[in-house]
Amino acid sequence: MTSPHFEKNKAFYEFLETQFQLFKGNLMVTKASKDEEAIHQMRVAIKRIKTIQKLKKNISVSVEIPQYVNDAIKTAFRSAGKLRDLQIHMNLLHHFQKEIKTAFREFDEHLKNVATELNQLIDSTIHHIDFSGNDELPLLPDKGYENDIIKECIDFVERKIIKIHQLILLIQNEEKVHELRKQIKQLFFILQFLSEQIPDNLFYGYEMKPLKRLTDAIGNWNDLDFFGQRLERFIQQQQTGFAGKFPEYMILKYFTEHEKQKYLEDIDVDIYLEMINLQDILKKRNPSPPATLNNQNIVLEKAMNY
Amino acid sequence: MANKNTDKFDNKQHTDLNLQLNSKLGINDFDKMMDDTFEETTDDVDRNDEEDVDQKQAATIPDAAETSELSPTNLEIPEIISKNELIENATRAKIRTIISKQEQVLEIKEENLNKLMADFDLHTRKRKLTKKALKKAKELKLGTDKMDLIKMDLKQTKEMLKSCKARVEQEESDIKNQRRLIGLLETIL
Repeated sequence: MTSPHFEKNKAFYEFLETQFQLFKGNLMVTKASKDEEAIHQMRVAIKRIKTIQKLKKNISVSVEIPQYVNDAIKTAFRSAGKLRDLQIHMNLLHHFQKEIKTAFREFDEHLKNVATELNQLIDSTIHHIDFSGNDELPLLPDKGYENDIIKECIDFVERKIIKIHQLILLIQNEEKVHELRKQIKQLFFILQFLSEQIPDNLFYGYEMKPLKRLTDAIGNWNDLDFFGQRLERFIQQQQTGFAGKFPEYMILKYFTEHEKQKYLEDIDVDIYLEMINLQDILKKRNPSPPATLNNQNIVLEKAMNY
Repeated sequence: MANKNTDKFDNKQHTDLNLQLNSKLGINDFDKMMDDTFEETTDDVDRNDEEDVDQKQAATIPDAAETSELSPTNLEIPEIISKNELIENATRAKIRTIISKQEQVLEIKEENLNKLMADFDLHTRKRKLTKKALKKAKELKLGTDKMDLIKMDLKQTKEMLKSCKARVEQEESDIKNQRRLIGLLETIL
């Protein structure tokens, strides 16, 4: 007799298999053209696989990701990540060129040089990844489905909500914003899986748009943060007197910081309200108040230790 | 000695005299007799005390020959001074140890206070955030269930803030007392 949890494990397996195929497809496009969207989609697929890997520490998913896939993911993620960041920075510079009506030729030239170097690096790393003959993940085993993985996934969601509640209190610290971004992204991926893949669970049909909007806003903040860091490094690498000779770079720095902060305006309130929305859904599982609100001490103590 | 003599005139005698004389004399006569008796008794006591003191002095004051034997020699005096210094130093060392321990306690208390202040800051931030969220939730006309969750969170945050404030005040007072104690101990040195 098949375990009642088999179907859920199968859904998990299929989700992972889909992400694996998406990763492979976009990897091929990246190899061929280094298309911006393909690089982005390849990284999204990798992040989803990584979330599942993270979940595996907390839930008993019967899917083993082979070592060669893990190695390929690591290499592709690292190299493509650098190129993706650079593409974003070039787009941001283009945006600021229009906004400030200045060419920033020196920085533009610098980014183009980095792009050439990175393309060469990707050629020497991603091109070595080859899946020929290993196009599928290993099949699901027949036995071993005693645990309710959906319950475990929902417990995982609850833990993420607690972490996010802690981190929004520390939003004035930029390091914590990066941590918050990662936590929200993980929550986003697991909710995306629960809301779309498995019909009989609390989050099935959950409206992803508000969380997507928050993920994007905090992602944009992150892009501008890295752009600002790259700009700062570039200015420091220039000869003495560069800032005096090209004062427009100070304006660029100011615009970057200003725009960056705009993305964080009241984002804590919006995230808080979305967490309340999720807690309201969790109440259906457990009529008593959600752990986050029921145990403020834990929430705040952990926030202190962050 | 004084107690011994006065005890002789105990309550029983007092009552007997009272009974015997009350019938023969007036109250004033009785009082006079009491005063006389008391004076006689105390005179005895004083006399006896003087005798005792003389005897004690005789016992403690040695004669000339004995004095030269008992008084410290030139070599012994520095030894005594040195012993006294050692005692004084040991006492100071003890006090310093106590101060050092009290300072450790103070350090722990100050660390606790810092943690409590950070805690307080966090609770304050949480309260501000929850208030803003409640305002926005009203504007967005969120459902009662969600509003109730926010209100409950706000209520709990306020309670935590209140309790945290009380703990901060207590710790501040303890630290003040601890500092005063250390200050007093330092004056002994």
